[in-house]
Amino acid sequence: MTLPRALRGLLLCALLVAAAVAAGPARAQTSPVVDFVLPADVWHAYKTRFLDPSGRIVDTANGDISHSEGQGYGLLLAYYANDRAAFEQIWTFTLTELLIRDDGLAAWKWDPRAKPHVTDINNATDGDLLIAWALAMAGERWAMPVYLDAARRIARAIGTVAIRNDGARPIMLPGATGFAAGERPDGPVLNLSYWVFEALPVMRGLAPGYDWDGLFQTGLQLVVQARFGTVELPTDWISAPAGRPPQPAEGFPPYFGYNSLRIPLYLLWAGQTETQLLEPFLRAWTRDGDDRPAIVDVETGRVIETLGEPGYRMQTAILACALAGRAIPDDLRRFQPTSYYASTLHLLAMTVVARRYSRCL
Amino acid sequence: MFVRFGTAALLLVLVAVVAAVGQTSDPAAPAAGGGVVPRATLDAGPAAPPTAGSAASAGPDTAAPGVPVVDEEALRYFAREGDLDRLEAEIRRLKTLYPSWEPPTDLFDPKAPGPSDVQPLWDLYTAGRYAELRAEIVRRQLAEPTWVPPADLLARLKQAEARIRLVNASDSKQWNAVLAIATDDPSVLTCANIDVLWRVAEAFAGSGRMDRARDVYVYILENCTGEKERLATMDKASALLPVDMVTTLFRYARQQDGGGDEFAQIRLNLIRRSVGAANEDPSLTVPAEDLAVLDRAAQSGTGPDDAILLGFYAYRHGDPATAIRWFDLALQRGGSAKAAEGYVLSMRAVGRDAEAEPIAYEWRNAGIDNLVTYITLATALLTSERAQVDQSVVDRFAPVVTEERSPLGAQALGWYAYNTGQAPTAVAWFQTSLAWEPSEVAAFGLLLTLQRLNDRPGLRQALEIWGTRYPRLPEMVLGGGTAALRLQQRAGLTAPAASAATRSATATAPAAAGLAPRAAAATSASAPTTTAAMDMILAGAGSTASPAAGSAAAPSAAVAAASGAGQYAACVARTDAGMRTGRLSPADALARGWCLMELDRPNEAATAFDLALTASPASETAQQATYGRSLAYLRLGLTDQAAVSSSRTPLSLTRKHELGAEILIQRALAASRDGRWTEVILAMASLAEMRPLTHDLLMLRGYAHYNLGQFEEARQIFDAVKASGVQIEALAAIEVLNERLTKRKF
Repeated sequence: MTLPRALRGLLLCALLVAAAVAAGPARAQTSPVVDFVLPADVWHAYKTRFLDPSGRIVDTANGDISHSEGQGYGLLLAYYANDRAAFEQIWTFTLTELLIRDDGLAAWKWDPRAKPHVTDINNATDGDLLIAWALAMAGERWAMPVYLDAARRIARAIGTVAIRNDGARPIMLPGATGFAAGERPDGPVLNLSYWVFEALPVMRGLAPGYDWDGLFQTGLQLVVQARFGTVELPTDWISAPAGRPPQPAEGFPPYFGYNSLRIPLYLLWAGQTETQLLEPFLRAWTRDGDDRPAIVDVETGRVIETLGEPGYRMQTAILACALAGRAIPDDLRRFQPTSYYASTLHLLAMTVVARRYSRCL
Repeated sequence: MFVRFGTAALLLVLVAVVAAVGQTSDPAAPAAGGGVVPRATLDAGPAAPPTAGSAASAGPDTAAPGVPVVDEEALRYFAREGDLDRLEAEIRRLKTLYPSWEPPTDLFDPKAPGPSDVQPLWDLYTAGRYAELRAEIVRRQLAEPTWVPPADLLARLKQAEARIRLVNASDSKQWNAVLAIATDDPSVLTCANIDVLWRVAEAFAGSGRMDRARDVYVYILENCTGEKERLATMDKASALLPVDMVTTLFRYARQQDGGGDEFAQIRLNLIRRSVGAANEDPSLTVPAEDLAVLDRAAQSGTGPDDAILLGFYAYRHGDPATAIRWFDLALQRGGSAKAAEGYVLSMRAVGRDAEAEPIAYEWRNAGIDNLVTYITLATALLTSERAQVDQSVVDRFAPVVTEERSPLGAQALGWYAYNTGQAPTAVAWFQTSLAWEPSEVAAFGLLLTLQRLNDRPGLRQALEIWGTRYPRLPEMVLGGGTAALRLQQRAGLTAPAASAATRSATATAPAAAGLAPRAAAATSASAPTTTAAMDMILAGAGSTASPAAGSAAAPSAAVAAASGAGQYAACVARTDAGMRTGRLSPADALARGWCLMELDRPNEAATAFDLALTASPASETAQQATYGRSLAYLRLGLTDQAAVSSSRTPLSLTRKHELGAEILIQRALAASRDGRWTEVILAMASLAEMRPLTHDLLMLRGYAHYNLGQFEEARQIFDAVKASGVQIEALAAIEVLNERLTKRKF
């Protein structure tokens, strides 16, 4: 299956929309959002590889575990594929197996070989954001009050549990326990790749009582501030005490790692294309001319690993598209499932390009 | 007490609680009005009949509204599948729901309505493939916009999902989530899902709402009939609820056909648990009513276990006579180690030590507790001035002491030999005891015996070794120390040294030994070391000493009056409270100690003397307390606090050995903190006999030599550590050593 074929279909039915749910924040000053349906064959290939009949998205490179993030991505992709049945299937698993916390957030980790399957009851706030966002969009598009109710509940729980104000700005804790200022000497410890920017205005609609706009701004600031070493990249986990510049967090490798790969995608998704925000990522990923993103030790500048799967190279491609108008390479317009994470990022990036940057196709 | 519970009542419990904790998970949930009705949550239209869930949870008092349209889809499905259990359950359910309804007669007729188009959906449901079922329903609805899924199927699916989610939340101890899910989907709260009911109870208990948990158990006991489930419910309640709450559940027991109620055994187990707990913590008591139940069970039973439980209960709650009867019964019924131990302890508590000795000996190898009990008993017999000891007791004790390397036992044999005029034997036993575990009291015995033998070279040598380690010893044995023995005499105390006359026939007459402590003490009776306070306490009614002369060290008037009048028990009683709070003055504590010695309660006396030792070290009070404590130890035959605890705490033999080593290590560390370097070296030497010294202990030993100025020994040790590969510390130490040696040149 090829994306060009898909995109031809897409362009035929392209619609300019100002759908309430999908509307980006007012500050997005990029091309208008185009409606988009993930081609059925692409989505089918993804489902066949990663969706277990029980409704869980399987992280094939991680011992076949599942996590709230994967469920969120699965719901989003099912939404973009306009696959209501698959959405219901993934949601059923998410609800019964993960949404079991007292505070209404999702347990982050589910292991098929453990009993009970939830091996860590802590949440991962990006997973919660992705799930709530997908539910909100699906509830709106398909008129499903059940989804909207659930979305509102999760959004309120995120606002209550994960959003903190450190005196100067709202921040988003990556999990309910273990990251706050009082829980670690270098706390709060944050994860920039948990800022799913495009989801935040939707959360504002779901749970108006929280400072989602402020949180959006905090994320943009941190992306600019958290630039470490000569590579000027963030680490996955940063220590961000109030009033001080962020630092790599203690106890984590000082790596620009797999988490952080998603930061440009999330910015571009929300229409944030300013060079100031994105330039270091593009520089790091195009340093050798082969467009492979890399895991980098920010302290030494040493490249730990280069990532050649198409889904990873697609991250470089959308950056080059947005910043330099470069066309998406032909081979990345096709989709063949590889690992769960790369494949997921591939489809998400395809969606982002089609919706906002179709000029690169 | 409880109004009969209906489901509505249980829901009320849930909703009230969930609302109270702000866990109403759905903002659209209706407020609890007069009665609580589960929110209609079905996706089906309003004409749908009562759902499976609400039907199953409905009591007989719930009437079906209007004329029912009975959904027989599930019924026919189970019939087609040949699933007779489910079929029967479904018929029962529908009959309960619609009393006028009769099951169709064509259920097994091949011409009956065949598999409908929803058959695949039911298949998915039966297989527990709920996510796929959900997806399939959506697919079907998209394909046929007018199609409506069977209400029954939807209700069952929803209930199954709620159950799974509730179980998952419960497994992760998310108690509020459990309660919120149960509130959202009360249809899961049925006897058929008794596991869910248990988990709801657990969630209440887990979040500290015990009374609510109890309500759930009451609900089960009032509504659910399965025999095993009811028993399991009581088991779970017993594990989670406080005992008094569990007791209130027994009223819901049903009478059994053969008489007796269904929970009799559980109640008995609960009582056993309470009695066991009270045996661990004697401040707890068990109601007489419960004890009577266990008493009956013990009498009518054939095993020893209940008798042992009751025996220990009686023993630990001040009724050793009753305890003896129970343990006796337990032994007759083949009761083993615990029964024997309890028997011996109880016999000792009523002063029948000698009678208990054969049993203690017989069972000594049954367990470490029995061994400790035996050694303690034999030690007490051998060091008691009152008991007549058979030669056979001594004869069989000695091999056990040797076998177990018991320093306490060796000491006892030392004192026994000393007091029966077998001084050379006494020397051997005291030396043996010291070799196994150094103690001041054994060293004291050794010195005393050597003195008696007039073995001056031996005495000098022993003083060199032990006098350094226990600085009080030389004075106690040679100089003013005889004051201690004189004090014993004046107090009417008979330290082991003084009771030879009453000993076994083989004993040498004490008069024959010119240096016998009693005689020695008598000759130094005029030694002027006794203070006025001591005199006052010790002299008894005949004392002529003036309390005022005690000045700062004098005990308070009340205590002094009591003890002065010989009212030892009153003296103890008056100082009890102060002793407990630790606010007793050192002088009063000293007086209390002597009173306790009079009452032959040396163990407590030792504690009192310890408190008296908080007086300033140079004071008379402190010095006398030190003597008093030694005497108490002598009386006890205990070497130190570690020995006291090791005689109380059950220890395996290996563990006992480890403990011995651990005590030595702790002593060495304590000694090094205080700069008592000789003690460090002695402890290390003893420890080295038990096991190889680790590097850090070798380093400690090296530093001890270093601090004593024994640089050559220190260097040898550090070099050895270095050679064995642990270099950094050893190198640093050698550097310090070199530096010190360099400085010494100047």
